[in-house]
Amino acid sequence: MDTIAVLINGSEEAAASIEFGAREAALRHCALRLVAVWEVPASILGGGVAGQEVYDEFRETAESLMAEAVAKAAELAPDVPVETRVVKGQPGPAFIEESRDATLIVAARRRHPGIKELVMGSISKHIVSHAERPVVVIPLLGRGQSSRSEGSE
Amino acid sequence: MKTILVGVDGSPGADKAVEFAAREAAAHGAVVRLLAAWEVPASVLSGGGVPLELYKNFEAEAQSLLTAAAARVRELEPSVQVEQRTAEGHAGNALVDATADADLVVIGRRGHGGFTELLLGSISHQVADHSKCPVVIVPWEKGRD
Repeated sequence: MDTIAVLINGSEEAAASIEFGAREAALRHCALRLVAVWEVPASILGGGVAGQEVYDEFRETAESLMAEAVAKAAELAPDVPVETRVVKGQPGPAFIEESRDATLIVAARRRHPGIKELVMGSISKHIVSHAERPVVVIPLLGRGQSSRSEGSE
Repeated sequence: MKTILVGVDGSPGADKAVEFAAREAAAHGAVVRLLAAWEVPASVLSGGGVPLELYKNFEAEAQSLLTAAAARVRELEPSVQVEQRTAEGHAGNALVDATADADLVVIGRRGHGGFTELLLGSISHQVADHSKCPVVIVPWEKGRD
């Protein structure tokens, strides 16, 4: 069975990506692979070493995002098999690695608070540049215009 | 999903995008809208006035790319309805503008330089950055067909 890999990189991003990925997976009879990548940012490490509790906190955040994502996928496409991977690493490269054998890769364009124009984050830029499979980038637009095709199927 | 937009420039990357769009349109019962943008390069314009025939040549080139792409869609998915559009202007801008009226846009990652150069190196990033609808970027690497 073919697999559609979806990056879970934030609550809002994940929701948009899962909506697209779940619908495609149901239509194409594929499995869904949800991938959450976490790391402790360099700004927190500050050149030093963080305590175990800091690592645990970041990992737990990724795990709770993943739990939310699994529930959403089950709701949208109950018949689609879902596999989850929570991995530590740099989000772009780690996601590419985890989705190497997928037929389609889905990631949302992050919202950058304070910047009027929505600009593709460095993670999606990395994915677009390095993926060996087709990549779907989902734009996060304002409420009510994020999915023009909603209800059309 | 009703309309799947595809950027067409005759490059191998764009061919892959056309193929992806054809399959996707068949799965969704959607229309494939092929868009070829053309513009007279600044290097030509800098010489001053541009003969009208030159503009016509560029547009004709875009039309012939569309005809070839439409034939490819019909070959792969005969049931899929195809629309052909040309736009004068920068390919990235033309594609981004056209996303306002599409449910999905598909582009190839590599262009071939020359007449429609840019489509799909920097353009894939431009469209991914500014599209109003989800964007599919289809990779193409030489020798890895």
